[in-house]
Amino acid sequence: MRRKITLIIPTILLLLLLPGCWNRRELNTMAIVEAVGVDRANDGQIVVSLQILKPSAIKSSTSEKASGTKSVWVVTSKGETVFDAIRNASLQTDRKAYFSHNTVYVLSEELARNGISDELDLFSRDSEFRKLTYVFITRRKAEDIIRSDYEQEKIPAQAIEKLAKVTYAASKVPKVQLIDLLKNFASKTNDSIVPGIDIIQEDNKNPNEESLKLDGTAILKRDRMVGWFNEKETRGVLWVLGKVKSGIIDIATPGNESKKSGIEIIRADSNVVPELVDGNLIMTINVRLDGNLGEEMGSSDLVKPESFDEIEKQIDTDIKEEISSAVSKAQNWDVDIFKFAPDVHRKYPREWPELERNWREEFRKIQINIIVDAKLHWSGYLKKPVQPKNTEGEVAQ
Amino acid sequence: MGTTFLPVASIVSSAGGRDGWMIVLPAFILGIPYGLMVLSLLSQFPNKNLLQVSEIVFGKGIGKLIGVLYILITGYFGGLLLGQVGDIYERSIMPLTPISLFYLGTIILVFYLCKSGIEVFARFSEVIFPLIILALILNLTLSISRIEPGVLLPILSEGVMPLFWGGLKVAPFVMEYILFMAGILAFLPTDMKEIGQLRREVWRAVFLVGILDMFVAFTQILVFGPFETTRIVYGLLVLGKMVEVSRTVAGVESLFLGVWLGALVIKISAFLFTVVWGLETVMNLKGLKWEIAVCAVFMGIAFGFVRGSVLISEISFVDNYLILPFTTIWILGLWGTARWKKGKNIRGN
Repeated sequence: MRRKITLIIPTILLLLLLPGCWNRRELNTMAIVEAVGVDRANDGQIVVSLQILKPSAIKSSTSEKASGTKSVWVVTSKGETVFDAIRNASLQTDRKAYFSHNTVYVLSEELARNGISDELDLFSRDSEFRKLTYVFITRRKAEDIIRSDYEQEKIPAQAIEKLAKVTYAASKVPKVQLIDLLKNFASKTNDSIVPGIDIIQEDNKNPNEESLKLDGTAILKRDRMVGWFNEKETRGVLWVLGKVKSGIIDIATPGNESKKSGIEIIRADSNVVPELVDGNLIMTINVRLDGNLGEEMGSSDLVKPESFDEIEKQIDTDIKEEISSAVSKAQNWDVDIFKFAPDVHRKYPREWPELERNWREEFRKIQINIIVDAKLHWSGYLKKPVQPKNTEGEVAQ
Repeated sequence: MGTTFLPVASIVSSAGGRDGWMIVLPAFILGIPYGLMVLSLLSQFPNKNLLQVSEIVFGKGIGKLIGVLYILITGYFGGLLLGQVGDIYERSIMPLTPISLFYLGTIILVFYLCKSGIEVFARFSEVIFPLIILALILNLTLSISRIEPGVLLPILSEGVMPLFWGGLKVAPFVMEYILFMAGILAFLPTDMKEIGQLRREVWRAVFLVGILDMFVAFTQILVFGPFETTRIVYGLLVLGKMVEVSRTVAGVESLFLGVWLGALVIKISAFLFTVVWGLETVMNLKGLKWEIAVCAVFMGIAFGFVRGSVLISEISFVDNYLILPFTTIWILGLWGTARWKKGKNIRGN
């Protein structure tokens, strides 16, 4: 019995020591970071802006505007490295920054044009940061985005995250997470796209009222930004990548070309088939699309087979234009954002080592052949649009 | 298995790129002939471990030399594995906790298991093993939504040689298991029916662990791509960090760390057993004080490798240049010589 007790007591003492309270993080000692902005100052230092949650303000059931208190607090600090800048933020906060709940990284265009892999290293190396965080590039300072408000959400970072999640609805901006960028950076041939984010101020609103908007797509050659794609060009890229899930294609209304009709994309997919003909690469991009006549402006009766055929042809033309403009711009910039290289590698593994050696050169010379198979199926609850009539019963012009 | 499923993807993808996952199971299968050779020696020399068998087959001098090598290799490796406990916890979730506490906590548990005997150790493993399987399966299935099947193609575009080199780096994993079998042999039943059962268990163990490790490598290559998989030290933990079930369950790598610790405790205990059996067989050193002494040596080795990158390269060195050549040559040589001698005796009779 005595022997047992002499064993049990030290064991209990050890157990008291062993749980490792060194690393305890109490909630009231943490500054929970929801969004991180990274800029580079004129003196070359890294500027980090942290959007920190204010739990006391979140508790309140009234809206932020009504209660007069903001739900987040933004701290900006400078340092030689991103980590240094983040730790320097603790000189202004009474709590240590905690990043496991961070959902958004915003990088400034100025920083991105000089390469971002260095600045992203910490976020992929440290265990506290998550690789599923959404990444954005802004034409402004990243700090401006981190400091901005959003009408519908108490926590602006959550609004930005939701904006990223809902990009599928328009398919005009990509959704990019940190892991996507890291995978592209690690590959020898892939280049990247990152959604742009901006602050908009509507003309008829109070100058203090601003809102966030996803705007354009930043194109990265390796890790350096080389320019912007507009909405159409971005959708051109998304068609090729098979990432268009929904959205609206505006076409001229058949029989009434001055007006537009909206075709809703119900589902779409694509595949890319490379062909090596006499040493030249030809990429055949097959796009399949199912759509609805979602809206008709004009007075034509479009709900008949011949009109549907005409609309389908217009959709084909529009998609081809979107893809062609994206490919041509990407070829001018030498950026394989379409992941053509893995497709070629898969189809021509023997020829690939030679092609890979001069991939930028090969990419510039690629010819594309776009085949669109658009199918229009439904027209909603209507056959013809309503046609307002005058008192004589004639259609009003 | 304890340490294999964390680095396996990084190891095979650095050697075989996108095809790396293919080599995991074949490399594990290499353990089957070796396992069967060990069991064949069991039926020839019942109730004796392979160190005792070596002394009988090769003579006392060579047998003792093999025994000393066995003790040194397994003891050094056990200490390095103890060091890995501290490394992974410091690296991931508890950087401020003194590394000595991880060593101390683990070695107490390992010592307790060793002191309680092989049966308690087996029961502990029986309880932990399903949890390991469950954690792995959960981790892998919850990652399915992030996979990109295209990254696996083209298959074998770099040829089979990279796979061969990758296989050489995976083969030590199964040889660690063979080293443990060499020691535990003295405790295994020897009648033919039960040896048949043991043979089936060798097949089962090798295939189960091989398939699981293959899926771990497969999933990581699918999720991260071959290039990023190579860059990540402990890919399974990063995968665990990416697991999300809505926002309720997210970033659960700490749970996987707990399960992994259980697996590592099993493995360190196995190596503590091998050293203790070795000391008893070769030098006739047995009893509590020698078990404590071995634990102290384990702690000393672990403290010698507190720098993570050095520890990882040392584990890889011991695996590739000590465990693999020692086990492959020793077991093959012992089995061959024992068969040859047996055949000679039969003819002599």
